[in-house]
Amino acid sequence: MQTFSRRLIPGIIFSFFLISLTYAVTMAQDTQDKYQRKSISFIDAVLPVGDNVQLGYEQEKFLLKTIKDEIEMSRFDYNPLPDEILLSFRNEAKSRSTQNLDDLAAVMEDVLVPEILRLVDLAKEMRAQGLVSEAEKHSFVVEKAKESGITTENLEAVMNSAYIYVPVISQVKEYTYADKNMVNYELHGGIIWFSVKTGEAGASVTLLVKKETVGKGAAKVDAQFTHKGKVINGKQYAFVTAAEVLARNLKVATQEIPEFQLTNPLANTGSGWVEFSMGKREGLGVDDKFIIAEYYENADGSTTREELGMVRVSRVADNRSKRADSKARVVIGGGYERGMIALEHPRLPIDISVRLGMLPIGGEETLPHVDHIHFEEDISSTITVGQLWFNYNLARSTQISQLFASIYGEFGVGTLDGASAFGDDLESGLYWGIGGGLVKKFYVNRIHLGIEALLSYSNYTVSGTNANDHDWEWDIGSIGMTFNGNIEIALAYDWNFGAGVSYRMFAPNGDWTYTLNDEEIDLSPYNDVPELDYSGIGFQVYLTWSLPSLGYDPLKMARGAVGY
Amino acid sequence: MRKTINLTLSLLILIWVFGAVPAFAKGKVENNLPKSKEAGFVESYSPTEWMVKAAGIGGGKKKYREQNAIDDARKCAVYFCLYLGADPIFTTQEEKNRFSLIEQDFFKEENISKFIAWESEEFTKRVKISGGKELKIEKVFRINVGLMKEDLVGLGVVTATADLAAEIGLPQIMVLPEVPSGGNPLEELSNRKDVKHAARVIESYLTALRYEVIVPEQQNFLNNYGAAMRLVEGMNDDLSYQIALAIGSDVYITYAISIDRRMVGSSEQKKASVSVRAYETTTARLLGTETGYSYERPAADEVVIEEAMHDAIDKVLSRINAYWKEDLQRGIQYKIVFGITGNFDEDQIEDIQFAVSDVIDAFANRSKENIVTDQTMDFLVWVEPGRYDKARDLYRDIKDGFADEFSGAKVARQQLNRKLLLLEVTNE
Repeated sequence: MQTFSRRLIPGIIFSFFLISLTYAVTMAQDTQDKYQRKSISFIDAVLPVGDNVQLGYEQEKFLLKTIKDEIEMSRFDYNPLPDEILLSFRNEAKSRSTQNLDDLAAVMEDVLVPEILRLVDLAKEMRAQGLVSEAEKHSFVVEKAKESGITTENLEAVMNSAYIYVPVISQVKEYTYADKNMVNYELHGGIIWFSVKTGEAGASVTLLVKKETVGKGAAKVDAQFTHKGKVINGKQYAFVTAAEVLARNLKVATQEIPEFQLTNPLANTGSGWVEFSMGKREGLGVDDKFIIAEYYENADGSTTREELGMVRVSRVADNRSKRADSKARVVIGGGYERGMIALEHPRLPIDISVRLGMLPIGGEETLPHVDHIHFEEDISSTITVGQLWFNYNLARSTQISQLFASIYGEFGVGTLDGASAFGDDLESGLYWGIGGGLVKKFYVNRIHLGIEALLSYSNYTVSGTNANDHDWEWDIGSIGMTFNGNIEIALAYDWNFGAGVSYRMFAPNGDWTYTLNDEEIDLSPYNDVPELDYSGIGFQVYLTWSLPSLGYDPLKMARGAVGY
Repeated sequence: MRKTINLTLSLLILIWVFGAVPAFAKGKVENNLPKSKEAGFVESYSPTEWMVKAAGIGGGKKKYREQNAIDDARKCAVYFCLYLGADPIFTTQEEKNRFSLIEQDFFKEENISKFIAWESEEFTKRVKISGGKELKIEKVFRINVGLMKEDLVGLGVVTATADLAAEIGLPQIMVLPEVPSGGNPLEELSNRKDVKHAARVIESYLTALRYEVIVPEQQNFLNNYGAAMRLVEGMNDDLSYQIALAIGSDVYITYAISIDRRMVGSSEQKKASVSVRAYETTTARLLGTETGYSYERPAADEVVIEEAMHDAIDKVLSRINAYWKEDLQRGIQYKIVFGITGNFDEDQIEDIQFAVSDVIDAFANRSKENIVTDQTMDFLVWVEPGRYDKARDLYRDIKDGFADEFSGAKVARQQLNRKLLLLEVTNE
């Protein structure tokens, strides 16, 4: 398997460019495109491409399962291939010394396609029923002749909507940092999609598209983690998180393939909302994004598609047994009309936000002291911070739109104006903080109102050199609560700009750590050390980006780094 | 006086101002006709209903565009049934002229709504046109063409088939399968299930429209029309023509069925095509031919045959009606064949021929001499429907008229039916 696959790379690259070119010149003509379910089959093996691929049996098994779980979405029907067929395929691929994708397709045609077509054939009438149009359901054949109304066109559409995907792994990198007690995994891989077509000349397999992405994971080497009910070590944790990230990125990449993109005309519209005929059957989730587009007819009769804006799913209908329409709120644009097209805009359920903020810092006046830090007056200063936020959208699991679990990290500088140490005014100190909590956003079209409640840890360090040329450092950290109220505007499908007010509740804290020439000084004899207070009102402006892919999962990374 | 003049002038100006506004408003001609004429026939759902896919164009304020486009599509679907397609309701220029006087009222939304039996919720197409100023949509409609025809008859635009029936009766239509030269359509009909099913579909379709339909069963036919068949045998090689003449149908329809089959996966797919031809019985003149197709489906033969037949028969029927309406202007048509069977010399034969010709000219609106030989005279005649509603009346007048014109010979009947008078001239 490995031998033949090593020679695949040139073939894959060439085929990939060909396919990309094909997409570039394809233009949809049907103005009322609806997503037609596809049936997919899965080759139960990871195809190694290149030399840097070393996967253990358990790793391969886990990677396969993770990819399968992500890729086999509700929008697909499945043609599970029997083990013996998959074994035959692998043996045949080995025996033929398959060297490129064409060779691989040929083996598929000979070994897999007959079985896939047999499976599709068994279910084709049932699947084709979903393709019978509204007008066809009211035809003479259905109403009077009491037939199903299925036409050969419907059946052929089903027979030609079979796909096979092959997971590919091109690089597995493991880095162990003994000094830091850390292990990192970096997986480069993807999916190759093949399409099964049947026609007068028989069935054939053609390469559809190849999608590649990366997944990274990290963990403490000697840590133990509980993952999906199993206790695993640090190395295993780093690998599984990398595999999960890779698979999640591949899911989005798959959703972006035009053949698999959910599409449907708007069934109803109203002020600030639209409805379309999709739901649980297609695996729709709350907060899924859809672009709204419509077609323009040109003078020569051709049509061009123009994107008008975006909506976000707010209620998912259960359409598994009967027709039902899901509802979406308008985010960008408006005045949408029935018959316009909703096109899926897949994104990870993670938003990344970069913020610039002004945070309060201060304290009450203390008596002057020559040996340590003191506040000459009541201090009310600000710290300028940069923040990085990761917002995990919880809508799919809670069914509450725009509910996020957020973590952030911040770093900044600020001067305690009015504070001094050793007779000198304090210079600018360094600030860092981390936190996490819940975020809920309410939105009216482009405008979002956000409320954030977070548990925060803030730390301030100030240092200097005294008259005796001794280096000193004062450091203090506190835990408190942060409440933010933000207003955001959607600039584009994936970009929001926001600004807000922050109210921070921290208890004043005088538990400083004082070091002099790197030696910690016991502060217990002093009872007049000033208390630093992070409470007060702050401000922030930020940009938020909805990610199409992310090479790592910050939360899992953080967990791995913490080692718990 | 000046006051009176001023008052009068003011009043006149007021009358002019307030009178002129509605007059200007009236001057704006209301146009209820559809903007869009893009439509296509989908299927003949039943003898009275057509499925039509029609496009509509909506302009005006943005919030009304969609509704305007839907309204326009509804009108377009009705317009299609009236004017467009292979077999519109209007078949003559006179009908179109008459309709043009009432078209604005006819295309009012409240009027056309009653003809729409069903319309799809979904659009099959939706595009912006004119740089986004107008919206074009496409939907599927089921139009009750039967009701529309009734309305148009009531409005005096088209002649009702019922009116035709009152005058001369609806055409009697005989239905037989098409067979190769020398073949027997009656045997084909009794031996092949699909052929029989197709005949039943036509019969059912036409009887629903109150046509009199004859599908001859072999045994019954031979029992009832055996003698007549022997008499018409020499007139033409086509057995269907002979049978139609023997029966005396006004029109006869032949049809041929073909079903293409192929496998998609493990399912056999079938696509039926049915060609239907309609002939004038008296002359075997082809009135219309149509081929109907079914969708290709995994369904029973009967279903695809019926689907294809529906596609074809409705169109052929409109040709028959058009022919019938046109022929009605001339009167009822008969084929009259005189066989000169008595012992006559050449001069007598010539005199008989003159006499027969004079007799026919005396009672026929119009006549056409097909064949004249020493033994046979073959005529097509059109006679007053009110005067000759039965072939027997016509025969009596011919017999009496000939007796008045010529002595020493008489006219006797061999065969009489709705379309054919087989007569012989014998010695008295």
